[in-house]
Amino acid sequence: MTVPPEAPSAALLDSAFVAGVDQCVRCGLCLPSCPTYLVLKNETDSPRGRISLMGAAAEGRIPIEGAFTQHIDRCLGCRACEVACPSGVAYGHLWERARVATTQRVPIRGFRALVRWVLLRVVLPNRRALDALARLGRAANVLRIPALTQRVPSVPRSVQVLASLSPPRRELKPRSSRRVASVAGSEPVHVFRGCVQPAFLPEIHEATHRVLAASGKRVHEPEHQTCCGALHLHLGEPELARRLARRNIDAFAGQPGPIVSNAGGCGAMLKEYAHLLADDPSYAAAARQFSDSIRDVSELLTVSRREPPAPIATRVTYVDSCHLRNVQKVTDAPRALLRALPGVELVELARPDLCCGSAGVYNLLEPDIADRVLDEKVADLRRADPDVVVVSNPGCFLQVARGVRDGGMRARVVHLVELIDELQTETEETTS
Amino acid sequence: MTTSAVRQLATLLGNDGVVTDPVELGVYSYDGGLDRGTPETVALPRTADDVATAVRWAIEQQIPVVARGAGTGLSGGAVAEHGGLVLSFARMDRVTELDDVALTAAVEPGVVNAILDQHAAAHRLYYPPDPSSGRACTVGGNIAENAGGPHCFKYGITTRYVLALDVVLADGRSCRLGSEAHDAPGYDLCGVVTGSEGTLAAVTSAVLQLVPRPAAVRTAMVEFDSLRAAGDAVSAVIAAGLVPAALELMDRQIVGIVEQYVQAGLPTDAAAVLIVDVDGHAGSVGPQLDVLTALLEATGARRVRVAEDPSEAAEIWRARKCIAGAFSRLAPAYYTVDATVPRSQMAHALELVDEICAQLGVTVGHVAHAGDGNLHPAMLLDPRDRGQVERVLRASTEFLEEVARLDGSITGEHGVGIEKREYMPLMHSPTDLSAMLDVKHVFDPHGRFNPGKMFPAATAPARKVDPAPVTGDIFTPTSADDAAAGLAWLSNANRTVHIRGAREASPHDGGVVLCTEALRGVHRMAPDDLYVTVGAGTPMRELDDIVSAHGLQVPLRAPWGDATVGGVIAANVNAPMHTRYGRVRDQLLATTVALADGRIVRMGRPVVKNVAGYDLPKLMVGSHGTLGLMIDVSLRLVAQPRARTTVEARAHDLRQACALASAIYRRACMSAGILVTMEAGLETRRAPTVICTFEGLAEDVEAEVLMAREVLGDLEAVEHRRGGPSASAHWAEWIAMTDGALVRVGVPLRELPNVSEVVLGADGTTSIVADVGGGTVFAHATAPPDGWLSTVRAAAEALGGYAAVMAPELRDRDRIDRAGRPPGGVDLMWGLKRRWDPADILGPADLPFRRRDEIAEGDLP
Repeated sequence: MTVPPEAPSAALLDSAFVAGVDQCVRCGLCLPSCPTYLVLKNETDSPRGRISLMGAAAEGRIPIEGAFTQHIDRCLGCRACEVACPSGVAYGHLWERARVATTQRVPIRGFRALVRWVLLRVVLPNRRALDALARLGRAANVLRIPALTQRVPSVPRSVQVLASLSPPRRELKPRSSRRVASVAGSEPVHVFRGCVQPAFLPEIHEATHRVLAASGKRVHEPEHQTCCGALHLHLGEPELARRLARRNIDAFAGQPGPIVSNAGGCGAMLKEYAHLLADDPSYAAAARQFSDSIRDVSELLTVSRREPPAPIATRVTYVDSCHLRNVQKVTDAPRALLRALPGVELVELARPDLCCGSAGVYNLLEPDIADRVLDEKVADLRRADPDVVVVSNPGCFLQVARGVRDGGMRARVVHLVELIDELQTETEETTS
Repeated sequence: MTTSAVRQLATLLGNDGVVTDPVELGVYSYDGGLDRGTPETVALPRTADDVATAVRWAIEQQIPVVARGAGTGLSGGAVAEHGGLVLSFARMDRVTELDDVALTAAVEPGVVNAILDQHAAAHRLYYPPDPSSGRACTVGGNIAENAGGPHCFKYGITTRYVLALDVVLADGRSCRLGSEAHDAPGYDLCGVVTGSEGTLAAVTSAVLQLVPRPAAVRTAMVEFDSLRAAGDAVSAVIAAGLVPAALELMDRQIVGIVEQYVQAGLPTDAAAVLIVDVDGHAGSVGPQLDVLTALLEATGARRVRVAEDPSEAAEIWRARKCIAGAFSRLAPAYYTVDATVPRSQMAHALELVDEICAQLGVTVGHVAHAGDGNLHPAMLLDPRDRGQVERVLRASTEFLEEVARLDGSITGEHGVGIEKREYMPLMHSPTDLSAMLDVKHVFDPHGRFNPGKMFPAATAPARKVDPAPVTGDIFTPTSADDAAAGLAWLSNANRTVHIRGAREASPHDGGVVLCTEALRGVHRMAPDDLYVTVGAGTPMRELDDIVSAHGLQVPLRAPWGDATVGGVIAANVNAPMHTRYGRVRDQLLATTVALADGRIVRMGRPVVKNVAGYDLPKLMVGSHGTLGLMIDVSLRLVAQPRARTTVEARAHDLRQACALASAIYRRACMSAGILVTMEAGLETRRAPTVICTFEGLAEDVEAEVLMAREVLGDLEAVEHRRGGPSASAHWAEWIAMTDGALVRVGVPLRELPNVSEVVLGADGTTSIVADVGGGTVFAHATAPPDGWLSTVRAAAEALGGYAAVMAPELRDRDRIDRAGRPPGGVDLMWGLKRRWDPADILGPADLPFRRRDEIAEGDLP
């Protein structure tokens, strides 16, 4: 049982990478934090296992093709293991490097390659393409195509999942004042728009503007910004990600005040620009400054408690975005806001730290594991039995909405800003 | 191993149930320690049947079987050093049953320690063993290593909580060792498999004891200006008879490292920090902390910071539990030494480590489970620096040599595994090791399970004392050598030996009575270290007098006035105080045993945390003098309770009495005995009574008395009052007064009322004292009707229990069958008996289970 020796991938053979791998003392404390380990219960699909594979690959003891690629690709990249790790192993960065190696060494061919090329290079960085795609999706929805694909067995699983993820027609409560804030606040904030969310879930974007304004912010949204590049990085295309990062840094240059993100994944990526461009002499400093000014929308909002407190009318469960929780380390702010909302009872999940299985496009690439991860989340949600499920990232939104719907739960899924917008507007209306 | 063989296993377990890709197998080549070894195949069983299938497959392939939980161990226990099959229990992770009456949990081995405690907490119950890796490590791994943790100071280590194990043996058979019914007759194989590091059997499920969850816990952080001051403070706390739930020590080095990681506001300028937990009822934790604070400040604590709320306490504990990984911020790796010293030697041992490390230029930090004397010096190293690695290992060796000299243990909780196996001779003589190897050979003659672990590569031959003739019918040895020489001679002469505490007429079978009266007296009273070593022939009364003079007690109470310490242990009978202090098996720390073949074996050490090799003292508990002669025994000491109160209640009938007692058991943290008694006589006079005794701090006792009276009121007891003799006193008096047939009946607790009804029968000639919590009914009949024992035994066995004869009148072989249905693993018991007593001379009438030739072929288990 010997493994044929082969040259380690250039992308892996880097002393910083090896030092990062060596920082793992293999204590195993990460195991219960890993969603893929929890559903597969095989250490090949655990953080410690993957790190040991990375070490073996970096030393050229195992090939990149085969098991290494399979288990690296099966990682959700949720980075919950980083929070669990007492040794401070920077798993996320190691994993990104490993993804570069697998992408270089195990080329994707055929239709999948085409889809990937179009998605990363044409669609995501392009607002008009995204809008067009969103219109197409809505038309498909009207024609009930998603339901149709589920019934045709020959349709590939990833297409079925994609179809089932298309945004549902949303029953937003009718609101008399669906207006963008008319009162200009004093503190400037700059909204990072993102790519998929404003196209497919425009209501979130609108609500973001309103709630920021209601919190006394002067909301500004720079032109020429683009996709954050997280998907590119996580699919092993760091150069594409850097290109987008530079565009964003330029777009927000010279603006005083925080840059606000309403998507946990995007915000985390924006905070990683400093790391991503650390070796780029002309952008390193600007990237650091840019990353430092990133805030999640929940960190900038204020909800004033009203007296007397409204009777509890709504059970709300908050589903953390992994990257908001594990990378940006924002866990308390959204919860504090929810607790302050009139009539809201916040019901926690047993395992709020577990991913829902969305993980960028993971649910399309590894649909079976993603579904098992989602099943765990839905079971946890069912125990909490909320009226409203609050999310803070578009991927989570679509995945959780799908899980809630397919699980036959009655709960409504909304973004944090939407619920705040809705309840504040209601209160304003009743008080005025 | 051929490809077709691997394919065969994949067919048996499913493709998803095996790992065979060499790349993937590398992921199973390590644990949390420094040893490495790659398996040839990994099996991921989902059921006990899968495990048996995989083990049988490995037997056919003649390859090693290495069990693995989460791979968080630190001694190489789960590392497949010689290849073979790794059995990963990750997928067997269910809590299959939580018994709310008996307070037990049935679990699969892959359940994570912290998850089990979460399940328990949902029922207001508690699973105390909490190793620092608790959020990841599995209960199966905990059982294999006999894991400890911070809260073992008060609550004891894993073995105390293991009631029964379902195992797959080395021949592929499945059987249950131990029993849900406490103290079932037979050798305690469950106790010896616990802590056997996967070298004896593969555990497929376990029945674990839980305890009521303390209502309140408070945490404090105490700062000291020197390590010695911290060590002294710990000794002062113990000397004052205080029992904090945890006493954890960290030195400046560790605090600095951890604080960087957790930012919990740890005092980085203190030379040492103690983390102290107190638990109990809401009204007691405050006063406990006050007393502790005053004492600690008086003994040199610089500052005592009491956590204001649970989140602050959680922060402090998070800091403590993160130590292991946090080291990697200072060096690429570290080596954690794990050793136990008698508590009073702790400060000395800590300084010694510093000295050794300073001499060798090794950076070291200290953490310690200070209440247990369990030290974890952590030595930083870079695995690539060979010289440094060697210096670290030399420092560790020098330290462990000193630990052995101090009568401590070379491993308190991490296990021997690969890491410490060559250190075993520091602690154990070749003869001691031979006794352990006997156990190994009995369980696993072909060395299938975890080969190479725990034992050094080579051991010198065991020493056997030369036989010396025994004259007359009574043999009264005066020393271990004397006893071993006589037993060896008697073995050669093929004369049977009956071990007795007192002189007694020689038996009819022409054998010899071995009288232990010359093995009497206190060898070492160590109040600071909370143990006492006495000759096994010492009367219990004498022992009680000595230890009570120090404000301490041995939580054993003899039912017979003339009982010796050795007799109580060999008979495994005790008053119903186990709910508070553990059973007989939990009191025996160490013993020196003369085997019938002339070997003298030292088993255990006088420390509460010792996992260096098999837990042999467990085998002596309940062995009825049939395995060897205990020469001396070291027993755990506990503080005498500051308060003790008994509540007595009368019930309408037996069922109600059991219900009342059960309800109190369910909620009581401080009970030192809950009894249901029923006298013989006319129906109207039998008046079932519930007697509950609570011991501990006054506040806790008061809270429990209130609770008990509330329960008794709510459930409409006929009447209840405070006072009366304690449950233990009542039990002892009652047994002392019995004359005639006395039988101990054990069942799973939920069956207690059912079996009691059968025991009592209809004719009113039987009286009982039932130990609720133990599920044990002591039944006395002055003139038992014909077939009484058979009826009782059949009922108990049908309910998953046993009936053991206690009174000599019923021990006469001609009249009555002493042993009932053979216990699980009886063939292993025969095997062990053959190894330790090859001429089969010890206690022919006392064997707690039937001999092979007494069982019909069809009744063999």
